[in-house]
Amino acid sequence: MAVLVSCAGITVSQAQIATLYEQGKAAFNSGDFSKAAELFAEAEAGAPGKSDALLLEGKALANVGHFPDADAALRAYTVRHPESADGFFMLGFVLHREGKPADSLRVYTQGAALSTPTAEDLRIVGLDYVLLNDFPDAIVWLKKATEFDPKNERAWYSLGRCYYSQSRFEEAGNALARALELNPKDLRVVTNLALVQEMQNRNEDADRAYRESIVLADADPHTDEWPYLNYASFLLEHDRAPEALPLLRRAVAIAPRCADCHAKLGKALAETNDGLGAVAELSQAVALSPEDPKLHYALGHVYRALGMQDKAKAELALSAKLYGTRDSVNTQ
Amino acid sequence: MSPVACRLLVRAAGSVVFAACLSLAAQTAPDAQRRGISSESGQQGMASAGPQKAEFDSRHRPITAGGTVKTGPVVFMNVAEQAGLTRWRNVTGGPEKHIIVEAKGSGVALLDYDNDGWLDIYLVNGSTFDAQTGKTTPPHAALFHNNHDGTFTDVAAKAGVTNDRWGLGVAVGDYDNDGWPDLYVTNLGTNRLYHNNHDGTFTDVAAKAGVGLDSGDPNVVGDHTGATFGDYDGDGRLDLFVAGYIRFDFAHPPVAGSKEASHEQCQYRGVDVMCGPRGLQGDHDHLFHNNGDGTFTDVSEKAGVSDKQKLYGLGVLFVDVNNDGRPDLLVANDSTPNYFYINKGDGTFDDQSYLSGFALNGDGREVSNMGLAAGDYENNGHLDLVSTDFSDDYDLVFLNDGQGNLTDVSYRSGIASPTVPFVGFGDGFLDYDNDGWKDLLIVNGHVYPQVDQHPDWGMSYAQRPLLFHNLGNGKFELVPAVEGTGLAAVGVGRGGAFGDLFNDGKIDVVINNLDGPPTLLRNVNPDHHHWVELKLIGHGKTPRDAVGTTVYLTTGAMRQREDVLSGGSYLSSSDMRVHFGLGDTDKVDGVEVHWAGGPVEKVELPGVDRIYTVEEGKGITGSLCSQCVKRRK
Repeated sequence: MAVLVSCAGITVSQAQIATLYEQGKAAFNSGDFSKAAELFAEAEAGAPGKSDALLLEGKALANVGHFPDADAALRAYTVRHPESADGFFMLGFVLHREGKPADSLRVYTQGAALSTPTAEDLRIVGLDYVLLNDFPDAIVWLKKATEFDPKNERAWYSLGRCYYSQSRFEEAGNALARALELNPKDLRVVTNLALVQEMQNRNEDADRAYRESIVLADADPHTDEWPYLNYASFLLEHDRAPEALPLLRRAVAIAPRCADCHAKLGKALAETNDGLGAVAELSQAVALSPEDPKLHYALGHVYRALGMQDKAKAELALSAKLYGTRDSVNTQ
Repeated sequence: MSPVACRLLVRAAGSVVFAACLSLAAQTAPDAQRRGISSESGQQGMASAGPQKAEFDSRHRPITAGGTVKTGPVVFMNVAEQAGLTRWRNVTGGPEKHIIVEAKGSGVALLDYDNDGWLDIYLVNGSTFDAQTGKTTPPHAALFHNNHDGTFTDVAAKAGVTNDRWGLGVAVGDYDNDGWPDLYVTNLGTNRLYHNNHDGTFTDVAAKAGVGLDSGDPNVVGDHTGATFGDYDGDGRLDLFVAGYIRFDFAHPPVAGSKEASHEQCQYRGVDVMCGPRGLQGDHDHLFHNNGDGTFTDVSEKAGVSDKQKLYGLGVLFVDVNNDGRPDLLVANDSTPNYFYINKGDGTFDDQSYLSGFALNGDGREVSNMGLAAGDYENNGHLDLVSTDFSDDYDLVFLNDGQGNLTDVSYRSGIASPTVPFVGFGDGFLDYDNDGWKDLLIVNGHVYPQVDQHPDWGMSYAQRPLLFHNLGNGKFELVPAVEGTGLAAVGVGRGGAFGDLFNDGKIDVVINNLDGPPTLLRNVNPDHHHWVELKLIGHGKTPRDAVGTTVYLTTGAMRQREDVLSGGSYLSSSDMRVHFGLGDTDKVDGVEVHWAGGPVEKVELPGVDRIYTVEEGKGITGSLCSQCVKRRK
């Protein structure tokens, strides 16, 4: 005899619930996470606490970026299934993505009391510490993640970034090199390796890595402006403004609302004696970031160099005003 | 682990332990992002450009302490011990440097306090918290009398200038025009004005003169730093400007975790360090007008130089930057924009900090300015400026177009790159090889002892000075530090003063090292170039010690400029005699003295390699040739 249960006021059979659950898994596996989330929700409603439908609903919601909803589903799941380490680990991940690192760590701790976390869990724990600005502890857990799974490229990458943030450049380089072995075409890794080599004063190596990052970025339709901006900044610091110009033009094309890109392009133009071009770019930078006193200052001094004293004074006065809005206790 | 409340939650299977830190705001996750010289590190106490390249020498020593070479030109030897200076030590707080006032160190002055024609040395000392509360004897300042034989004797106690307060800065000036140099000493707390009694002793008249800046509260005091004398209103009497750094409360010092300092301002490169100055309560600057009767009046507000924002002032200097014959006023502000006040000639100043280009570096970024140097390094009659700066940032060179418009040419001049790993403090232009072109020496030393625990950063706590040779084409070249010589001597350098201590025509340097003995860099450069020095005595509307006077000296096609200045560098004051290197030329074509009081006087020098005394309206009234004396013997 079929057992009947009530689901949203409608009575459904256990067989129907099982079907909803299976349909949810199929939708999940096919990448239709929104549909999967709905189906898992219905399955859970039909038989609360009887399956891991709530856990899967949370995963599906996380996959579509609905973190608050995922948070609610997973919290409910961990209440109904306090023995499920997976539930805590998933909730920990969602809390991390919600920008709640301290809560995330607490939940991961609860999960770790039940089962040994995976390398990926430990990577997220490490990133929680990053969000807490506690890089030494972040390094501890990211290292552990790479020990748990030496093939976790993202863990190696994050570890490299943390070492970089701590100015531990040799270790950063080693970690990023491991990431690069696992994925030689990872643009982020190549770019960061260039940054590290630059910080180690290995300028030829850095130059080579930056050029490689540009090749990868050119081939990546989804690239952001950073590879171009990074290499251009390197070139500007080495008095190679003409080489920086095309990179900065590309950065501006990719990110027309990037004030830093326009500002750097303005600087490169000023250094190649195109004062009017520099004014145009710096003016755009100022328009995009009108509260930045550095940009007004740079624009003011380009005006001054062009003999446009009134405009120079106006921009420099704005810079002074913006810096001057703070007294010493507000200097941060 | 960061110094916030973190608690261990549970030890789980697989030896995994998580700790949740509870009080920090979320930061951005790490991702590919440049942190170069043009970016800004706003999340730390000192302004800098964020971590920069680590530099090591071939023995993998940080470049700031290593980088020495076996052979090369020997320019300076550290003769502090032979000279008898090392029996004295600077003592400033504890070695850990938990609080910012423990790390700033002290200045040094070169003055001929007894008018015997030889420079003496005044070294300011710091103090300790125990000494401040009477638990221990306070360290004392030193007044080293020049024995004329290469040695010095500390006569501070006899002279009455031991200070015994938490000393920082010093400026020399004959404020009462009696022909004897007086001393102004700044303190964490009440300052001193040591009046020269003409008999080898001084009397502190700060309170009577109205320049003590006594807060009236022994616990809450001003942290006074740089001082400079200058006659801003042209009345022939030296006025006084004093910079304020922070307002310090002994009962509530700004340590990490206290409400006086936020966590972000107590970190450097992610490591816990002392807090500030960012985020700390600053203190005003003060301009004192000399009333001519032994007293001064605080005219800071009226003159427009009171530092309403209470920025963190350090090096200060009265100097005529825009060539209008009036002393302007420069203030190096730590981690905040600099001040450049143009003297309007009516008793007030016009704040031209931004328009001039002096407020910020060329990227429009505020930096941690420490010491100030002014000198015409291009020999075009324009005074260019240097401001020393923190590590992970470059020391700034500002080229002057002659009208006070300044351009950051630090990279173009060759100064920027070598200075990035160093924390620069004292600085000064000096023609060390007497070739007629002003060179530049920068005194260095870190403020965080913790840097020694991070050898991969490429920097050290104790650092060596940097000497840049002027190539005569707008560029400088770093002079290699030969092992065993003064340029290889490391210390936690702070104040630096420049002058001809041995009357041999070669400019020497005295460095006041934090928590250590001083360094005396005796100039032993093996050149045989000629030189002259002028001791100027003013009359009328020119202060007696001629502060504010400009001298132009012509040899062939070269026209050099020197200025009589008080203060500058880092909390220090240098030889007021002007010095000119002449190269191989043994004849001076012309000397033009633009007295601070207005008159322009042409002086003919009968010879070279001498120190001439020139009195306003009287020409040469004396000469000293120590080498001649030696030759006669």
